[in-house]
Amino acid sequence: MGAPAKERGVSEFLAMGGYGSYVWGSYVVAALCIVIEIWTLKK
Amino acid sequence: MNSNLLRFAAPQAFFPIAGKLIPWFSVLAGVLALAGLYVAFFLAPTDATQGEAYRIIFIHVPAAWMSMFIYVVMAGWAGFGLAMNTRLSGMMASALAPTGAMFTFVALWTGALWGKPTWGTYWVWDARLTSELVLLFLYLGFIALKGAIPDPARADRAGAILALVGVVNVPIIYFSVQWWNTLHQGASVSLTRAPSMAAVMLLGMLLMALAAWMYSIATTLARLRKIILERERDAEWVRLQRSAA
Repeated sequence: MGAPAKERGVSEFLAMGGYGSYVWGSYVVAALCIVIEIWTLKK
Repeated sequence: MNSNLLRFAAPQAFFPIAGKLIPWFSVLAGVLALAGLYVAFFLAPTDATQGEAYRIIFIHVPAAWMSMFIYVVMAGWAGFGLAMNTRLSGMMASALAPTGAMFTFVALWTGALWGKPTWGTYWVWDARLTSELVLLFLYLGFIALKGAIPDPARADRAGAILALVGVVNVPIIYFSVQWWNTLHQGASVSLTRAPSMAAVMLLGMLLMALAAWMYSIATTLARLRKIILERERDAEWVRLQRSAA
């Protein structure tokens, strides 16, 4: 296992070891789903 | 059952309780999610074999757990309503379905984005992935069926039958990795044996799972209140509620 992410720089953190599009693609879409669900409930 | 508890089965009695509970569960969901994300991205080390791509599991696994758990709870409420003819049960099942469908979609989406770097493909028709896709169709079918029947009582009965028939898919999803030779890995966390991951990784996943639970309760209660207001719109207490708002 490598070092925890907090010990690395921002750009390295965002790059996620070359898997940035997969990792952030997962979290951004999940966050969007949550935002859409809350928005529909607020209507 | 205690008659004091039974009175909360009336939509009018449960409506204000749901309203009081929503802020608490919303705050808990936010705090637990922040703690979970901190552990997931800043404390958990890089995985030796999957690299940073494994950080997707902090959202994928809780979403997959919730997708199955919400379906079982939804079918339970629907079945209870079918047997006992309680109005609130059908409303509760309707309130759970969109959140369950959302978590199922998130589980499938994040699973595809985790699968590509680890398996080399976004999708395979293996038993775990296919049965999870069937779960999404069951949720969508349940929502569509209830929406297509104008009479709420008939819609609740039809939805309950579909939900109860579909619940057989949940153990198929869970045990698919044992029953068949699937590309999807077996469970890393089980009630019957020690987890096969580092403690800090497990902590992050459990915090995110708890956040997903709290979020699900808050959104379900919020949707339940909307459904109660819609279905009871001709009742005197709803008219008073709307005029006070």
